[in-house]
Amino acid sequence: MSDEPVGETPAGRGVHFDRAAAADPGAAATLSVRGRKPRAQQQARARAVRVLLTQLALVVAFLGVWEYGVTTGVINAFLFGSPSGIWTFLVKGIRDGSIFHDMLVTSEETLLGFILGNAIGATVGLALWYSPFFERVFSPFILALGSIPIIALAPLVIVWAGTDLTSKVLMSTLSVVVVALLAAFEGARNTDPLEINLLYSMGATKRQVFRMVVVPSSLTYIFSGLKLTVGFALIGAIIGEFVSSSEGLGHAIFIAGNLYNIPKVFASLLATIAIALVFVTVVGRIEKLLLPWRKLTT
Amino acid sequence: MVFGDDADQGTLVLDNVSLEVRDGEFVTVVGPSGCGKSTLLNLLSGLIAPASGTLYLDGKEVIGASKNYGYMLQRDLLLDWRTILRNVTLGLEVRGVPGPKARALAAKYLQFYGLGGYEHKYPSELSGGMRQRAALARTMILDPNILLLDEPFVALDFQTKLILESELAMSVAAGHRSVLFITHDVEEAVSLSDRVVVMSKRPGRIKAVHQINLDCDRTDPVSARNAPKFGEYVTTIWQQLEIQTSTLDMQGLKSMRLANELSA
Repeated sequence: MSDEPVGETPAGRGVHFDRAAAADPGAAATLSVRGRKPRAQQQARARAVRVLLTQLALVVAFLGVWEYGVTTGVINAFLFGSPSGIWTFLVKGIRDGSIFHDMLVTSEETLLGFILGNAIGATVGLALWYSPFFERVFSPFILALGSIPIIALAPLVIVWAGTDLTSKVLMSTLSVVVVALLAAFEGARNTDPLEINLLYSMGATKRQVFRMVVVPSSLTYIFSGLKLTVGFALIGAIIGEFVSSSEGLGHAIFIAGNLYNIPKVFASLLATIAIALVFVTVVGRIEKLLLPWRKLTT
Repeated sequence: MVFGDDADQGTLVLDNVSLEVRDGEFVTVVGPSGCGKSTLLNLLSGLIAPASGTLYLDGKEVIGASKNYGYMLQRDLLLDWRTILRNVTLGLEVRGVPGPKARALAAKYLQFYGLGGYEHKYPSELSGGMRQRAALARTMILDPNILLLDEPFVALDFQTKLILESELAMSVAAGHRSVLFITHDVEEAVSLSDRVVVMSKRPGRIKAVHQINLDCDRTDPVSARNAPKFGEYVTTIWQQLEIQTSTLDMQGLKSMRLANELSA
């Protein structure tokens, strides 16, 4: 900040200055208050590294005990598989591309179901705010639909929509839509009534109130719905594949399970987890992009 | 006007309240908490309907004050997802003013209210006083001829409050606006108003009306507080509010302290 030469440190400038200077000679000429920031950042980084190392150690320990148990015969490799067996199948799947193919198929079903389910759910959920009459009419049906275990619908969906992509997308959509709807409706209902009054005091119409206050203030709820429904979309797609399909991770798990190919089941499970992680990360990025004011309050 | 819920007996909030605000007049309603001050304001703004009684604007019977009234509450009600500039343009957007024009005008108002440079900040980045100032800009940009204000400065520290009172007084005087101001702060009421209406405990009735003549610059809350008759008005109104200063039993407190000392 100043052009005072590094190292010529006047005495009595405060503890923070000296510590910062010791840790980072480049910061020597900055004021004591500024010296605190890099220190705090360093501490945060050190903490993050510690957390990551501990997590890695846990995974390594878990896999190590598992592998050791299998080699000594304490753990039945036929029933539980082994980390090295899983690794073999992962490498094989990656080499011949089969695992990528299955991941792509399941991702496509999940993505379509996720988008459709959330689009329909959020639209209907917000629209229910608009008409208290329809809210009363529909709420028991919505609750009824929400209480159906999604797997029970699979046979019907297969009969109606066939065994290809459509039925999986439909399964995925169905398992997402009610949660998305409830999240959006809850968001709309929790709009601050005083903010609504403020808009009316400016002469706004109900449509303007809806567009300018209700929808934006529901966005935080809708985004928590999005994060929640990533898992549901995946469950729907996989159940669809379980019931009837010729490809996808659900299909791979189903076949491998029936053949007692436990390592392949685990390898496919890992691929499923990878899909979920990618989805959640992408949703988080989009949230940061669309709701820039959120990062300021948390 | 009468407001109350007939089905639920004993909740008569306002009883036979008749109040008139003349063109360009600053009227303040003071009263003990729970006397129905805020209910009165909500009735005037048309957010709730009276059980009986009518509301007139320019001699015509209306449901709410009008489509052009400014509304400020204790909470600033800035929308979290809009920047300060876009919070101020909110009312203009509602009225269909084109975006560039609205933003240019809002920037001018923000400059006037000392918020230049904060246009693109979000409300959560501003202090309470700055937020309420942004709310004042949002209110004034619509050039309302009626202002309904419900304790807008109660959550602010004393200095910020004085500054905002002064800014409000100037904005009101410049635009020749009628104001109904609700507060429990007697000094604030006397320093700002042409008329102070004192209300009784629930059910709220009008107890007294004071015409305030301070013979000083009313846009300066400090000089108003130093005006010779200021103290007199404040004392009279305080007495009419009949606020019990303490319900604690002094003798009881003393004996408790004695007991403490003995046990120590």
